[in-house]
Amino acid sequence: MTEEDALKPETVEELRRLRGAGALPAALEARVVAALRARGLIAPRWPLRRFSLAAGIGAVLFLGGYALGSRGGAPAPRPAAPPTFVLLLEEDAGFARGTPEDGRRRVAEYRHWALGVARQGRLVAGEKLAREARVVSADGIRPVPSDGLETGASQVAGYFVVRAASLDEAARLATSCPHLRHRGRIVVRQIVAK
Amino acid sequence: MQPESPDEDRRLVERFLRRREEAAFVALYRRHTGFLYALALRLAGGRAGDAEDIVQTAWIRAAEALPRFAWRSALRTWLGGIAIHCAREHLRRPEGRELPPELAAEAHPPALHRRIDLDRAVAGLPYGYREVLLLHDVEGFTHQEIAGMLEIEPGTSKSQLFHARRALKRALQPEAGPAAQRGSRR
Repeated sequence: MTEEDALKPETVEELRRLRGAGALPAALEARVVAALRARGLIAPRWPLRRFSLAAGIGAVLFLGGYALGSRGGAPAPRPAAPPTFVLLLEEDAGFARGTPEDGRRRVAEYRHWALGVARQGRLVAGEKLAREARVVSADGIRPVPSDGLETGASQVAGYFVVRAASLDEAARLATSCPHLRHRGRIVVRQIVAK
Repeated sequence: MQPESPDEDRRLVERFLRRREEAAFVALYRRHTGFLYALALRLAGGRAGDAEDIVQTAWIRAAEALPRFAWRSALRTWLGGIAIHCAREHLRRPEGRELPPELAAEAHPPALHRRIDLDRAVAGLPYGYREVLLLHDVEGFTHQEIAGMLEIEPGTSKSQLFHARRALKRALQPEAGPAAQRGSRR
């Protein structure tokens, strides 16, 4: 007796008609894409930007991202997102700017670190800030010097936004950022939830 | 098995791996998720929530493993194997789970009864039988392909299919009473 003898022909045919039957949930695609992006398996939406050494920050590379927490219209129910924290990458006159070759190596360094954070599902956003700036106060508007630093001052050269369970955990995460190896400083603060 | 151009799959995979481009991934997703979801849905006994979770996990695993995929099988076969493993993990104790309400025949008009009966019968098969029956008789994979996906011998696939079809036939017998149901364990 062959295998097919065990089933009636109409049953065999009905089984074949089951193939692909059933509508694919429309929201599943967005859910899967978001899950892959949160793990760094899909490139973020904003292009990676390179820093030029002439701008002073040298080899810092930031990934753009977007908030991955609960939003209206999220296709699948998720537990409440952990709090988010901003990592302000500061540099002062002591920041090690390095050579152009150093700059290229640092591009890979920062990118590798950011991808690692993204693969943990922790990276929300990251941006490089241009060196040109304005300081606005009650006294008016004044430009920041062209090298981006005022005497004795430090300047925020960029930021990351990450998810962590606590301020201390976010700070521990920041200790692995390559910015510190180049004598930069990172200020970590929680973003107040709305 | 629906023909999918292997060249197009390879082109999309290479494009995706080059820059992890979302558009390339979405193209792959749309080519293969209809099959993956249908398979996951039937493995999950019709539970859409479970099927969605299985498909998501399968794509995550596939995206992580794609750099190591050596094209010794069709991409669809490889993805199906991943979905099978994800389903097993997700469903954990596949036997003994209740059928979802949507497979309750009482809620449907007579015209759908035959289809519902078949779905219920497939969902009620022991999990190992269900896997092989779905892959061979529904999705059209060969025993060689199934053996690769399930990490078994082709002969084992054939044997499982024989028993699966016999169990399915018993479950579909009209006016099935307890005696006929003994061959179709849940």
